Amino acid sequence: MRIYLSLQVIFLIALQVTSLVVLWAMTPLTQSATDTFALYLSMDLVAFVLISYIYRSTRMSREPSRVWMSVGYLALVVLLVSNLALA
Amino acid sequence: MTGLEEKEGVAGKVAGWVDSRLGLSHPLLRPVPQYALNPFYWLGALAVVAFVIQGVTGMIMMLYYVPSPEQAYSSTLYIFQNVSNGRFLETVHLYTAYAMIMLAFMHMMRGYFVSVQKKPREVMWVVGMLMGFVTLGFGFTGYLLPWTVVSYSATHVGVGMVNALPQPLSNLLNFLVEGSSGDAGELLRFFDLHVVILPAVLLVLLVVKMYMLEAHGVADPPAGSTVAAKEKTIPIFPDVTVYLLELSLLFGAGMLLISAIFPLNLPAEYSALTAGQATPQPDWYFLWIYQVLKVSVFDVGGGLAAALSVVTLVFVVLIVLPFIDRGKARAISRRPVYITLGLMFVGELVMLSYWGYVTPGATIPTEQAALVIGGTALLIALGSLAAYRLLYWRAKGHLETVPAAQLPHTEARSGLAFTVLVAAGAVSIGTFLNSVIGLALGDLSAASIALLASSGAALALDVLASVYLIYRLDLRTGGIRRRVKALEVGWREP
Repeated sequence: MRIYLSLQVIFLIALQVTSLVVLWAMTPLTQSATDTFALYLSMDLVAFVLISYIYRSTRMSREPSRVWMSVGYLALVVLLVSNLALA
Repeated sequence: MTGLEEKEGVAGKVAGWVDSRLGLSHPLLRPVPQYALNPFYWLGALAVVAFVIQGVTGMIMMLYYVPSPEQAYSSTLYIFQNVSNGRFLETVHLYTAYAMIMLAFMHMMRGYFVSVQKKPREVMWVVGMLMGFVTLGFGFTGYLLPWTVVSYSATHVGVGMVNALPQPLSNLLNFLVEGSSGDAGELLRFFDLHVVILPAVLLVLLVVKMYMLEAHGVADPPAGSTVAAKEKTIPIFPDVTVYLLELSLLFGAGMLLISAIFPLNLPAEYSALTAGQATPQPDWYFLWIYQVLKVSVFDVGGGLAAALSVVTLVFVVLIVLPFIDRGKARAISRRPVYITLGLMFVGELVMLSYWGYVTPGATIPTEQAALVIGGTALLIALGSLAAYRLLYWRAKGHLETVPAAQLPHTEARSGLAFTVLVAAGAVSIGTFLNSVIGLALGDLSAASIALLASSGAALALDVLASVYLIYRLDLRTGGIRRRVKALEVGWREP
């Protein structure tokens, strides 16, 4: 279980780093670029929420709720697909 | 809970390092009960998060904004068009302000419904109300800053109200918001209030409220809590901090997405030419006040002062609420009157705001206003009555041993009579108050005097009928006589 959670955290951190790089490289002056900026930043925040949730749950000796984790990943997928659609 | 140094894993080690250097696991704040890990307990904290986001976005915009009538609009437009993410920043700033007002309102109403304002948290409630006024002040002062035709005209409706207030309040507020140097002075004062004075006041009030929160702790749930539930606490750092971080980030992500989906459009600049094009319409959080001012009964001389007195009365009642509602009962099921009044307050605010939104600039006939306001109150009262009846009926099913077959008809008749009396009472009180206000403002026509007399008579009849109903109910059970000592005066013992 711990390895499984650690892998998730590594994946989420990688996602955060990727979105940060994109954010850093952007100069959003048009509305479309602003939308992309907002979507990547939201992805970053949601990924951080999931990492915090995993950390808090393991600290309180509880397994993270599968429902909430699924909702979080679903939100990430929706944000990513929206970004791809915009691009 | 011990410190974090003993925890394993990378995250635990990092948290342990931070904790050992900063001493975060030995904070001044006390641990909170585990039941407080619920978003409804953190609405106020989220309002503070919104305030922080506003501070950050506001500071970036302040680098470009020029608070003078000649450059306010052009500098705002510059942020929109030339600053990286400028339009997005403006939109996030505005929507977070909306969220802050909404969260503060939800925090207040949630507190009211679950009785957090009761002993010993009365002063905390008053401080919270002051913070709410400051939040509204942010909205009022910030609205003028872009210097658009919409914001200028709406703000001047508000500034005009200041002149109708009694002295010395009128002079004091005039000095604060208007000054004596025309538009330039006014804009500068609004800017100063928005970026320096109000944030400073809010921060001071926040510190005072946090101090009192630390003294009293998190309020019990409305249904009460067991000692075991209270003892099951979690430390502020890292558990509560991380939980709050999760809520804050989700809130931030939501704000970002809403701002991207519904970007702000800047209306036309204010000028003498464009001034006549816009109908003065405040932002949504002031629409209910605006709608009260539009009722035709307040159109006559002194009417504005009367309307403002009504609005002021609402605010005063909200501030002193903990000193009015002094009952010990905290459970929602045991506070039917106050819960119904609270629901009426929310219902009227929503109804007046929506009505104000769809009728910009239109004068509202007094009869229509009385009907809609009274009707809303009546509907909510009836809904609440039905809900509480259902609640008591279900509770009674568990508690009483009286055969149910003996009760339905008499209970139904009493309930029907009570409903009719409440309806008639609401209509007659509304009409009576309307006539009194009309007469006080100089409408001395025979029709209004007749309306006053008839509504007064209807009200008196309603009161007599209510007393009779209580008397009949008491003859059967004797319950009211036992519970309400005042009714025993002159009551013949059986």
